[in-house]
Amino acid sequence: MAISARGEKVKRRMRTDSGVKMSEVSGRNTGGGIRTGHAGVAEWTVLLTIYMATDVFLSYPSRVAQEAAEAAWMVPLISGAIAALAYVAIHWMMKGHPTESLLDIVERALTPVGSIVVGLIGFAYFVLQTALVMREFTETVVATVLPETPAAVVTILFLMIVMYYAYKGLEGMTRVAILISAFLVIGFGLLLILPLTWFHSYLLTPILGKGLGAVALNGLTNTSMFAGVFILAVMRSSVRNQRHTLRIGLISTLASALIMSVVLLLFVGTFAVAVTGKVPFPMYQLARLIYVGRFVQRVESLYVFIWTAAAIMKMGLGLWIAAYLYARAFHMPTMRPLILPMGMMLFVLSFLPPDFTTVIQLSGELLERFGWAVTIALPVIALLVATIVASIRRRAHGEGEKDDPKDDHGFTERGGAGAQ
Amino acid sequence: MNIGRVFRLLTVDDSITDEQFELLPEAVWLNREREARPDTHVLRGKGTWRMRALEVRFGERYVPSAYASDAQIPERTAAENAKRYDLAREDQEQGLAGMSGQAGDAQAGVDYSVDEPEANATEAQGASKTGTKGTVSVYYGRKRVRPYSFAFLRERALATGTPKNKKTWTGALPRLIQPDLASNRLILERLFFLPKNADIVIRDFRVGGKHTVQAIAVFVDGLADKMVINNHILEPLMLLSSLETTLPTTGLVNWIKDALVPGNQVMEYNTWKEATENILAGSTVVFMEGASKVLAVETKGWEHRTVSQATTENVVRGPHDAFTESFRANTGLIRARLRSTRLVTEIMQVGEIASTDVAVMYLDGVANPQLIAEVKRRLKAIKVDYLADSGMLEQFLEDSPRAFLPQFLSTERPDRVAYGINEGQVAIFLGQSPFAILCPVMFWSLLQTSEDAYLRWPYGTFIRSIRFISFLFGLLLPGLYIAVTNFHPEMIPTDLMLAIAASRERVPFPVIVEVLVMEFAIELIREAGIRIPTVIGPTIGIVGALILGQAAVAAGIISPLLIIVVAVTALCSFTMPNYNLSFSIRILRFGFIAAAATFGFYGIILGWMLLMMHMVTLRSFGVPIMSPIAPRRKSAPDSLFRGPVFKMDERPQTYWPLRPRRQQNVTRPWSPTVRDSQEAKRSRNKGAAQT
Repeated sequence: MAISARGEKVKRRMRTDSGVKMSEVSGRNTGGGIRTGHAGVAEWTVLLTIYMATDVFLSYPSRVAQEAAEAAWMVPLISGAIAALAYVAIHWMMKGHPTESLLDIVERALTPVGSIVVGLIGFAYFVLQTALVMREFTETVVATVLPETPAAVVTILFLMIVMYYAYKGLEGMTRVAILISAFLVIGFGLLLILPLTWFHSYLLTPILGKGLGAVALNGLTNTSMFAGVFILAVMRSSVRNQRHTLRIGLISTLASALIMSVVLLLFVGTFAVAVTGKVPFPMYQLARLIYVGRFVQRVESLYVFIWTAAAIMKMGLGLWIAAYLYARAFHMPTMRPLILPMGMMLFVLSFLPPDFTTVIQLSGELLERFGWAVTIALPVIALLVATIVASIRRRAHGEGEKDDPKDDHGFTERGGAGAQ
Repeated sequence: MNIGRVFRLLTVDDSITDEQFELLPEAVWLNREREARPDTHVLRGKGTWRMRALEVRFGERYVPSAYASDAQIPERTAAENAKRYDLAREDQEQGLAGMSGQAGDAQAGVDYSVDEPEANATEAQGASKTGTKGTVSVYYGRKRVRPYSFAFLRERALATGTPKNKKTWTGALPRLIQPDLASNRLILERLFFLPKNADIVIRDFRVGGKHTVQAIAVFVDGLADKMVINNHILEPLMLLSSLETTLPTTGLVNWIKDALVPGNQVMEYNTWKEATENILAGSTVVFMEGASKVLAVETKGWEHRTVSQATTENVVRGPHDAFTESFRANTGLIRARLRSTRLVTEIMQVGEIASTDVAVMYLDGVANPQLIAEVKRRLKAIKVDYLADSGMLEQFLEDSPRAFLPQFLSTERPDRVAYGINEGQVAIFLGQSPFAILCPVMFWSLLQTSEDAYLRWPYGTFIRSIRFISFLFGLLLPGLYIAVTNFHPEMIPTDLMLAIAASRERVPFPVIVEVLVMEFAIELIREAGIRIPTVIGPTIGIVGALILGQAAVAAGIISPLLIIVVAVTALCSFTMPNYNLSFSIRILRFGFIAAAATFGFYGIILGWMLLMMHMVTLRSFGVPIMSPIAPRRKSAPDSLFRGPVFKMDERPQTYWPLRPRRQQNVTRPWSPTVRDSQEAKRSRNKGAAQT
């Protein structure tokens, strides 16, 4: 504040007029007191698309190709459609509370206990998932470009950048996502187009692979990829233009589903189903095939650029959202001090599995198979219960509830009132 | 970096304790202020609230643009003026507090009252008899007046004065100009350490022939133009004034100012601060016996370089003039280009011991008032003894002092500054600096030259993309070379790999050493090229070309391929139009070399991602420097590529200008391709409706 005599006088008056000190109101911001910043619609869409589609670089395509055979390309489309539907339901249930996030609504309806439970489950999921992704990427880097470097060194480097990303927060990550999206699209497109000479459409028959049932079941259980639904439900208040939250959710979900589907289509069409299950990094294998004349060949090392960039975005957002959920669940005023301990936690967790096979097994059989319970089912169910409880309470209290102003800061008192 | 800082980084969330300035559209932050103090806007009308919010935020009265639709200024400024006038009066009275009633008034040169015309004549007669020293009493008209010495006044004020009055006198030197010349002379001698200080000139003289008034003119030898002093101050005051037979009907100061001094800029001042600042700025200050005001006549005339060709930002197409070391010439160059009544030049002084002029230039009604206020707030906060150059000013003003990238656009081109001001930026000029700075700035403007806009858009786009590629190469090429040869040789086609291997056969060093040696040599050439005396300038070419080009290869220390890599990199960094940006590229390049040497492509991409995050979170005066791309903001097609000029309808939204559009939707209405378009029809209809 300026020190001119006039300025000071005015400031003093302002304080006595309103009776509110600046320090008391400065914490008012989005995200239940934690400053998260705001991000635009395009930025959010791109960030979530990168977050969800990054799984194509890992073992996901190979596992799905093994499970759904020739029809593997349909699986992400089905799961994407389910996730999109779930998001529409979430959006519909949250429509009445434009400035509130999932945790705010849950807390108001189900007392702080409810939001702590939801927050902690989300936190656990994102920490575990990020740790596994980190290990998978580390192994990939070691296996493909730095064979003689110890895995721990690679992980620590990753972790340092990821922690910096989480430290800088949401605004920074969304902006980086927008900046690198052009490079990613061009690189990814080339990576898919250049090996097309090996593509044989007959490898995709029989079209339905192991049958409609298997495809549908696979599509149902693989929805955990679309964690963007959960993230967006939690972070909805940080979207700059609230009218377009539905658009962000739908476009990012469907775009990432489409990317995965195209990759699977090319993957299966290039290396037949019999081989696909045994290839640990399908995208890397696709890159190795590239041969455009004698000069442009074996560019798989270049591909490490795309893939590390996407991995950093994914892990950065994973760590950030985990720290945010934890801080929000316990009403901490800030989340930055959590990032260092959580980073260390990620490091330890990512080295718990003894070898790469266990990592793939864990992520394939545990996290990706049952992850949908957290990413899709949890927000839907929590919101459903919250909506029902709220409507019951409204009926029980009659008109009283309607008079309360809708602001996202009164939830503690109201939560307390609900508990009585 | 110390450990405490790292610890703080990881444990404390700074965003809670200090809020960084963020340039926002007015509606948004007004809303925030309203949220912060929910009851205020209910109590007051919206307009008042807005003014108050601005006042609280910036600590100074916000005068809305004269061009804004809802301006309520007239009464406000009038009220403010009245208040200021009162203050000034108060000051004056304070200074005269020791004087006795009428004599005080007369000596202070305050206007004589209209009621007593006869008295004036006689009083002036009396005043003319006033001696300097040793006179016990003088006649002022029929009244006998005793002139008081400075020491006496001081003593009396200290003994009997009010606290405020005392304060004026207790300082080492008085704040106000004294009414008697002897005191003023003493103060001048103390202020300027006379007679030790040889270049401060005090010239005694008498004004008028019949009724003389003792006066002194003070100026700095070397800063003031002697011809002007002789012809336009001394001559009229000493010689021509004697031709004046009528007696002054107004105060002495006013009489001299209005009738005798023909200087084009004559100002009255009554404090020592203003008087000394003017003396030091090259004006001639005239003190008169019996007046507690001085006249500062503009006589600036020191030697400086004339406006000449740009030395660091050359263009082929476009104006060639550049700023020079003259402050007013620089602001004049902008005035000459941007002929608008809206162009405002606010001048203030920075520096406690030696003050330097700072000019803030902007277009009222275009630049965001929040931005202007923030610029001035930061400028006023600078408390240094001496500010030498705009390069130092930049460092005092920037948002993130630890950032790698420049957060200002420093330029020596007036056309660039004029264009920037028109876009909604604020230009800052500092004293004798030939570089003006523009803020806020976007990263993309650092990669642009004014020529891009003067050329047709395909050419502009072409040179811009060349520059962008050279930015990437300048940053990454040596790193990529190291990574490919050390870590990923399989990437290179076999023939090329064999060629590289053959050229490196005789080289005893690893690639990284080779690269570092060559990079160091290039940096040496560059540095030596700047420092070398012009007379022996050509030597550098011979030394550079011979030693680095041929001898190094012939000696088998460096491989020929690497010479190409390093030379291309050097060329790339020379293409950067902004001097500061080329520094950040040079430094960051070494970072990428280190990353590539240790972890190959993996290291490079990690470094790149780090840099990206650093760049997107960097702000220049509250504006994210990577906008309008990240974050996305509305803007004309002018960031990475140059769009056609008729598409440049909007000012960059990221500056939140008050006037978002800079040209009509349809600027080529005669063109057959445009004439029949829907857009043209719409604008025609709109125009018809308006008329």
